[in-house]
Amino acid sequence: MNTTIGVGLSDGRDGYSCGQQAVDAARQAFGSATVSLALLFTSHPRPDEVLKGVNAALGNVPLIGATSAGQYSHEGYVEQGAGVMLIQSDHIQFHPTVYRQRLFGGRKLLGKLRGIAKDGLGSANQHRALMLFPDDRSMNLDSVVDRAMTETAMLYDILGGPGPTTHDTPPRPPAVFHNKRLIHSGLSGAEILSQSPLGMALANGWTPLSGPYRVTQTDARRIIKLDGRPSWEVYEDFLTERALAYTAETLPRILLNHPIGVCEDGDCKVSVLMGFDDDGALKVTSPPAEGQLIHILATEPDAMVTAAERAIEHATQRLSAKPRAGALFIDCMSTGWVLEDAYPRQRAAVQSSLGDVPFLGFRSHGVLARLQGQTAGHFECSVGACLLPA
Amino acid sequence: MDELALTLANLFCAADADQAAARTLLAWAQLTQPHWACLLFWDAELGRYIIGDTWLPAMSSMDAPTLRRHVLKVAQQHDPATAGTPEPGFFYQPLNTPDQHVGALCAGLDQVPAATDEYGLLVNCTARALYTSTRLEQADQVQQQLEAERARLEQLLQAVEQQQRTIDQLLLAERQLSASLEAKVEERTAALHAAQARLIQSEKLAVIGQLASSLAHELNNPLQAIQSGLGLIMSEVDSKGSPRMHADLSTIQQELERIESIFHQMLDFYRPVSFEFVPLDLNAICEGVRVLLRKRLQETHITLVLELAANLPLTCGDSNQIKQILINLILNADEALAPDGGTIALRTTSDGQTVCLSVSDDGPGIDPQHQARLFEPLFTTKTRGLGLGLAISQEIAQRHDGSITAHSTPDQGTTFTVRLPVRRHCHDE
Repeated sequence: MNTTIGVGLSDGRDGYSCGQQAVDAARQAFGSATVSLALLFTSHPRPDEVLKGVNAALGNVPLIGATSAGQYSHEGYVEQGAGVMLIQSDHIQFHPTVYRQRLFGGRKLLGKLRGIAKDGLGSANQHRALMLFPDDRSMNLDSVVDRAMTETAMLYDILGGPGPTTHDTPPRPPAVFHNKRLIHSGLSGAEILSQSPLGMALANGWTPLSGPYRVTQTDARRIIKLDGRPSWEVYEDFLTERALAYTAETLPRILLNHPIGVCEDGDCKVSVLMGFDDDGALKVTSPPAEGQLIHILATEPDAMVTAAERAIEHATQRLSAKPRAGALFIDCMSTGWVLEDAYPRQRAAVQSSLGDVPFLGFRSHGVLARLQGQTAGHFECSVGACLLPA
Repeated sequence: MDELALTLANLFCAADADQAAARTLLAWAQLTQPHWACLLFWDAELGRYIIGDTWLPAMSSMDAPTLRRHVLKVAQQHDPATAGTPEPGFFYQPLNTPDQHVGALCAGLDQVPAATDEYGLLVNCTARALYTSTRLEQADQVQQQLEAERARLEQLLQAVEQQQRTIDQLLLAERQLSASLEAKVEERTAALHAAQARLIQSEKLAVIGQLASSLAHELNNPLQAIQSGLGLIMSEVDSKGSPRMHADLSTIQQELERIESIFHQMLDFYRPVSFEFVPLDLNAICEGVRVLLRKRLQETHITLVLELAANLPLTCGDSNQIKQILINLILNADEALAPDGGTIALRTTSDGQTVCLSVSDDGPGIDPQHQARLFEPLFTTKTRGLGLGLAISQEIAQRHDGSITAHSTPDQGTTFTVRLPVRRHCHDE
């Protein structure tokens, strides 16, 4: 059994060349083998041009991916460019899937899954997983995982990273890729069927600092009330208790450093706070359910770096002693913002933990995960590792 | 009292805990005319109060966040069993049901409300109403969660059912495959046994053929010499007019001819013969055989009846070899009917897949213990037979991709049936 993986980065200024160069770089290690699946993540301002360049270089191969806020590998880090991973395997099957609209109603998200169809059940491919890359605007990301869990009858591990909306460098709406198409509202992904175990794990370095607080009112993107009070009022009390002085300029940094989380057995499902509105409601991407208890969280750079190492360690353990062919490292873009100057330490820790295993890291809007023994959903400020067996 | 009753009725008709809290505050404000009021819920899991609702006049000097923070701080430190004034202008009224602490009403009052029946009724009913509405809201939440869970379970169930159907199909396919394999194994095993039997028979025939060839080669010349000598002796005997000696010599000559005939029969069997593969007119072949054997059958008092089907489908082969089969079978029947004679029926039929030639007699039938060995080379029940006729017939039938079978009933007769496959054409066969 053999799995070959090649990873290439490019920071080419022109999108088309950037895509081509990333493929060329990936081909250097990959050679001329037939590509089973190509992954593309790009933080370039022109993702459409990057996709064209990649397709021109690759020809007709199955491709999935999403926009991102940065990519990295053993070759370094590109803040504005593209990362390509080429995969070829004789014992792992990849079946791309696509959903081309907003998530609503009872329409199936994933289409027909081969792993639980007539030929899939009872086959040698007993290890099933889903990689999911939705955009982060057109759908509730907790619901994406929930829907995927249901449609897979909880027989699949799920790991993914939403393409982020970016407002700074470069400003750009999110998009996902499916073969030659760029889709602004939807999801691309792949069903992975393997004869050997797949290594998937999730981790973060956050711990409760204050709380718990009762969530008493929410809507689609806001936590309106905590403990019956406007959420901001409660958060402000927390800042006062901790003597965390703030101004309009410093508040975003404080909110970033102290997200909220639903914590259970030492693990927290983190939601980054994106500000508050005139009603005193806290703005989040995936609010917890009314009635849940949340905490306000804190972290240290060491804890976040250790979390990245832990994700890779757990993913490696799940391979059941099989050698590692390559890895996809999903890194919520907010971890870099939280770590600031320490962010290169985390990337170095990822490189070091993976040794000479080729990998592609990309900065997403959180991590989508449903893994055995863990809470499922959309995890922000967290990292996910997907290791493929050789 | 009427006004209080109306207030309490409103309270109990609240749609949810938020509305109940708002109405509670309104009733409280109407009764006590406070500077501010705040309703607190007791969160048993957290072990502290959370805010239910706040009432603050627009012109108040205090803002709502400050009021809520202050109320929570003061109330949290007060004994939930008794009403009281923790600080000047701050009145704390616990709301308790007989079983549990539900919350508290806090208000900015210049003086503590008089403990009238009316006031007591308002407090108790408020506690009960809040308890009820809170529980109802919790029940609503639980119901919503259950509904969501039910919907999700239904989806999961559908997915599981789909999988179950798939598994059932897989199992069915596996069973069918297994049964098919078993049938194929049995079929192949039977075919293998038949092939083995044919191989043994072929080898047997080949040995006989080689033996016949050798015998014919070695004995034919001396036989010819004997026959020539015998001819000379018979001429001399004839000239001397000895009828008795002539009769004896004739017998010797007949037996020599019989020996020669046996040699030819054996040589025919072994000798590779040319094999034509042309359309056969089986009815015409039957007519030809009748003409050929007419004299012999008349002598043995046999009636040969032909029952020939019209419009037989096409079958292909070598007409001389098919004729040989029929002659063998008819002569066998002729011998079986001797010495009294009888009837032999020669029939042609077809079922669409095969064309059949059958030869039936109404003789004594074949002994059941001999039936299994009828087609073995050298097996014969006749004193003068060589035991090759049926073996040769079977060989010819198989060479035509056909078969020959026998069905015999003691005292009723025997039928031999030759089956030949129907063809679409006779080329490249």
